[in-house]
Amino acid sequence: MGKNLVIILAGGAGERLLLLSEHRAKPAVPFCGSYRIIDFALSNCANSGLHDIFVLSQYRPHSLARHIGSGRAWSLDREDCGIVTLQPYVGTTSRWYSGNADAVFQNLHFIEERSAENVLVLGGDHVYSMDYRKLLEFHREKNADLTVSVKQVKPQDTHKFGTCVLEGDGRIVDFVEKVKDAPSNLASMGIYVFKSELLSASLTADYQDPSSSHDFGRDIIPRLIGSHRVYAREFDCYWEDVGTINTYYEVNMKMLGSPPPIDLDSPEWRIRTNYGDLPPAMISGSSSLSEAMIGEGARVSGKVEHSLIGPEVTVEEGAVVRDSIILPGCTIGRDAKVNLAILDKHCRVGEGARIGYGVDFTPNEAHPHVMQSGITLVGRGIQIPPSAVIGRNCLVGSQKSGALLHVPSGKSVL
Amino acid sequence: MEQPFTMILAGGRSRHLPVLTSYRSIAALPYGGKYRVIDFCLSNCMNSGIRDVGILAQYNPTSLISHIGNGAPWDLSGRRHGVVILQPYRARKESNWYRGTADALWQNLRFLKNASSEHVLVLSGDHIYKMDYRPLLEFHSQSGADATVVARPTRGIVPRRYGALVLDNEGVVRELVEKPDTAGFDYFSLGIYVFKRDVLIERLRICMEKRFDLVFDVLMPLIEEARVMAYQFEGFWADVGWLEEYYRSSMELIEKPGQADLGDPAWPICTRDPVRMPSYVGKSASVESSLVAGGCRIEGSVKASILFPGVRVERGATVENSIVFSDTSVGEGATLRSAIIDKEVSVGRGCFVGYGSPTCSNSHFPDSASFGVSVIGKRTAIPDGVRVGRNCLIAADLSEREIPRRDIVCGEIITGESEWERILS
Repeated sequence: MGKNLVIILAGGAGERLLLLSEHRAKPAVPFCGSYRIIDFALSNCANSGLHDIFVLSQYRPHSLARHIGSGRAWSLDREDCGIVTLQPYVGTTSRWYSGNADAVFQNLHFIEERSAENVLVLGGDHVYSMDYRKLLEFHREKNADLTVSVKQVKPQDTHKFGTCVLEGDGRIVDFVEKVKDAPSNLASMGIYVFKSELLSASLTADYQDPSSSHDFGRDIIPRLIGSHRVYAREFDCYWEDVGTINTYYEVNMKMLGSPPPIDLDSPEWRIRTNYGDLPPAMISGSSSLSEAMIGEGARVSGKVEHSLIGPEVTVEEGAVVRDSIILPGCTIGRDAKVNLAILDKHCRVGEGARIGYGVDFTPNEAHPHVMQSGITLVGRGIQIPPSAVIGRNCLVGSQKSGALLHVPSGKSVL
Repeated sequence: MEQPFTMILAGGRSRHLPVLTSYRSIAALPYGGKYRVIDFCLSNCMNSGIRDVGILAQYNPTSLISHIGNGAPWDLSGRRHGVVILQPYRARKESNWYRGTADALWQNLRFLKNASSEHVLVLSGDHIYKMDYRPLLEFHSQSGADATVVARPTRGIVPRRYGALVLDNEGVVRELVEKPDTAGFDYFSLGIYVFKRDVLIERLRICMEKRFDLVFDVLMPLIEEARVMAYQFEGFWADVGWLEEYYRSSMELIEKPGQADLGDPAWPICTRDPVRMPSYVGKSASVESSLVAGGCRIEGSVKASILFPGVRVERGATVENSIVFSDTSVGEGATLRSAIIDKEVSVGRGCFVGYGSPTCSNSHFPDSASFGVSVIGKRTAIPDGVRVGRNCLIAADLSEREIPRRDIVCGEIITGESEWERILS
């Protein structure tokens, strides 16, 4: 078996995640309490025995870099290979990455140096458990030049993905990226296995094409259909793109299901993360918990219903958290009520404050299509004053004095 | 302050922790929801800036060794520093098990001699405590003592299990009385010592003729012939070498969380962290006054208990005043009351562990299992519906077939045929 190199595309700004990705790349957005989204890709690699990994990042990479560190959390800190983060750099080209294909192209030299037989290109922003060995095996069996991992999606969702049409043996005969009338409901998951030489050749050709947007799905893949052996392998387990605030909320909440769509602690396929050294959660006598996920280091004295409580979160006495996602390090003060809200890390909700208040579900003024389901989003480190009242579909990204005492539904404080 | 070479004595087993230490040393005993006892000592080292540590281990060291690994969780892993586990070994001329604590040091003399430091810090790996060793080392080197013993006020209690210390006005140790029966001692020794390296080596050489104990054969002669100082320590400290102390000290983590303060950012207690997902508490579940580590799935009711990582409490099950180690499952409708359940145990549906009230002590361990708590050993499977009374001890690795299908009454001990000898040794 030849060598395989993995490239994780982690440059995404994840604009539709609004405040959650304001200070961090989308793959570094926290997930289900103690995880970050990229943990799925990294754990899948480690569990598949793939240890030679490049992570391409550009947008706000600091959280991501800190999280990955030496890769030890995933046992990726190896002597002979390991995980390397590649940022835009000053050199022969000295350009920002313009598109995910360009990001790979600019690092082609390092990729070729590894003399891998196949290069597995992945996104760093999906939630799924997948054994990449099966994909690589399929690729080899079909003697494919390129293999795309695909999944059936609902007909109404096809416009969000690249879709493809297959021949009987799985060869792709048509591939179009994000169009209205998609030719099928087989969506590309943004997971590709390239024969190494083909990757080099097609990226080089793409670089020289002034009309290209330098995107794998839009430019690279469609051009290879017909001229090369491009195959699709169907994946039929859980896979989700956490692209918007709504899907972010839904996918997190699904982890409260019995059973959840992915067993993060499965002994066969554990999802690992770099967050630890916290004491057990302390649940006090006055608390009440139902359908709750509680991270380590949390201290709960209040009431938690159908919510994710991240590590090191404090819920004080009399506080009520319902249908909400509380990211690590937040404090919910005495008698505060948090309803249908996402609180980014290290927020503090003052005593008696209310977040997600009332029956007015006016969509957000700035993002009416993204923020209309009632979720209120509070940015990292925001201090909500005591007795403040914040409505629904609100975005709270700054704390100008007095501005947070009363925020009506649909308003933004940025 | 120069780096002392640090030796941790982790060889200990305890006859007073039946079942729990049948496969592991006290140092490797799980404690506090996710830690092992030795984590406290190692974290103290880390937080005190100590980077070179030897661990003397002899008794059933496998779980200790895999726990310590490369020492990275405590920053004890580097090119020129780190942790080394010193086990008994064969040599050309003479090969012995460690015949005592002094012998364990003596047999690893090479490490002491090679250490660059003039001082040797000797710690016990069997205690739960938070202590900055830097002021102790400072005190030791400034006082010019040949040895320094860490002393804790007795507060009027007779230190029956420890070495009582008699000090003079200057803090010089005048006498050490091992395990006294009478009152009148103001201090006892915590088994934490600093020695001048050359003094220690010389003393070991003398006593190795026929005696092997660090307290009797090294420290006591030094008290008589040299200058041994006492260093007072009044911070958090607990000895968990007795079942009752282990249980009580664990429960205090819930009742007085500020005392051990496991989450103190200024003094982190680190462990080889089994990173697990956040714990899930189901719809009809209830959790009260408890410590819950990661990866638990709670569908039943948990009260005043400590759950280690990956514990499952099924629907209708009740866990009260109990300590449950990693990956144990408590079946539907089962009840645990005042029980300590080791790792990977399966408690069947409808079982009741800890029923009734304690009427007698354990038949074989009357001194240990006498305060109402029952213990079930690692990986044992309790069949559906079995009831286990108080002060019961059920050995490790018993299959359902080996558990009698009847009420196991107060004070009973259950063990496989082949296990009797080991359990009772």
